[in-house]
Amino acid sequence: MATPVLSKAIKPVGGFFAFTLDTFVAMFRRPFQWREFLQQTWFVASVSLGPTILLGIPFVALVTFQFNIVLVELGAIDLSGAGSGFATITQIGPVATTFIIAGASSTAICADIGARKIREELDAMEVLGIDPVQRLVAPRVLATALNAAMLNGVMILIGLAGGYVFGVYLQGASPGQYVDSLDLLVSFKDLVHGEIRAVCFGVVGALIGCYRGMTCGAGPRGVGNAVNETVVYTFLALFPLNIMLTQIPYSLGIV
Amino acid sequence: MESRFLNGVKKVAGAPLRLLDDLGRQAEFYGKSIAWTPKAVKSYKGEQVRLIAEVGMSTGALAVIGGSSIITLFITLFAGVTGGLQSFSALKDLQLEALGGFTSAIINPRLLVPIVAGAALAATVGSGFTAQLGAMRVAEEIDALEVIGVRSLPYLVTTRLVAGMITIIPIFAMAMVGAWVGWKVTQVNFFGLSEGTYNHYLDTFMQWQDILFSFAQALGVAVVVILIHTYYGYTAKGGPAGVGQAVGKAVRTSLIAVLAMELVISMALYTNSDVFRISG
Repeated sequence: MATPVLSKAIKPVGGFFAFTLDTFVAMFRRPFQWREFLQQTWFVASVSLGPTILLGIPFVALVTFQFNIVLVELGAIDLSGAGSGFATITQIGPVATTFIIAGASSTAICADIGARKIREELDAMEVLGIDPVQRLVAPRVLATALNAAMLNGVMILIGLAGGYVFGVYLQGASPGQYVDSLDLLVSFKDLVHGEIRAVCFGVVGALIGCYRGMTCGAGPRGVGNAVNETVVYTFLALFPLNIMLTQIPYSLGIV
Repeated sequence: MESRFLNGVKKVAGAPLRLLDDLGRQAEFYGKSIAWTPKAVKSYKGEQVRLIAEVGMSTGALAVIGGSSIITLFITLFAGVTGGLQSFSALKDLQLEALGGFTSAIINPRLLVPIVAGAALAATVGSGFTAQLGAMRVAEEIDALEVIGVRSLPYLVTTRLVAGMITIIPIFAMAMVGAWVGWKVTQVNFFGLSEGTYNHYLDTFMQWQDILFSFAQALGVAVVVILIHTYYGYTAKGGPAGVGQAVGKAVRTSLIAVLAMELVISMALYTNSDVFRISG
């Protein structure tokens, strides 16, 4: 009993790592699929940008609102800029990017690849001597990574603007103080740190989406489950990844 | 050429109307599924119990790694560790490391757990429902139910709604424990903050009210997530590929709705809260 369950849990993990290696090898193989890359960049942006904006506004409002309640109690509402800048750039940007990558980008990628898998398009490609990993997966991974970096930027912009609206218009911070204290707790290095994390999330999210799409079972239930598992695995992978990528630069004293 | 132009105009001009149409259909679906609650609870007890077990434990590959409750626990645990180390490093810059327990007492119940557990619920339970119902719709199982005289809405949707409302409480409690454990282990065991100091500030600033409020948020989130996900599953079309797209669309919509719902609930509950006294 124990062995089948164990192998059921471990086999896909091994398969995923092999797939990741294949993808990284395929990324450097010429010719690079520029057309697919551009199309996928546009595709991922078109499914992710709307959710980013709509998710970013309540996300930021929620955090700023709660943070400002504490600051009002302390009589330090003028520091709301510092809190907003710190929270947005260090964690909210990357974590909200995680949500978007898991919820929007990788699900869309998985649904797309899964549909091709069950229509046997992937098998057809292989028969024609085309490597689906090079043709489909590598451009998608790079496209999602590029998008993740830009989505993180959008999220930070929404965060700072939303924090301003909430702090200044609704909870009584002074506008000059807000802007002035923005960089009290964060610096340019933190921004770069956040962007690097976002790119890594994009790569991992796209890899999970592609892998689960390429291994999806037959029929509608197979595709549905594949997309469902993609979201779950992406969340499960990205949160620990975020911990490591947050802490390692702190431990090394870079940030 | 002319007709193509006219079609284009129709498509653009009709977009707001189609959106309105869709919203109306969703509202009708939500209203009906909620209104069927007494019937579903009374008539479909067996299905109800089975679904409660399924929501907690999940099926298929997700059950192998622990089911939705364990997955949620792990996700909030990791989120708690992230929060713990980020807040610790910020407090260290201000030389206020001792206040680690304070950050945990405020951030966990008010922000981190509702947001992260809401997202985890949408990912595990919600999109599982979309996949199931979508597959049933595409395989014409839902039509078959109607043909044999079972009302599909209470039998499939309302029972899932009730199951979600019941199981969210233990799942959310586990999520809360996960976040606190993660936070404390990070600050006390990894960074060497004294345990007594941590507990002191945690106890001082912990509000029972906050925890109750966050459970209120969790219930709201459960309703929203399950209604949205069952809607997209119930109305899936376009074969197997359509089911995959429906799951993706449902996750996108419900993540936005979760955050919006939480903002509304927390603004309603916390705006005039003066239970929170630091300055006396």
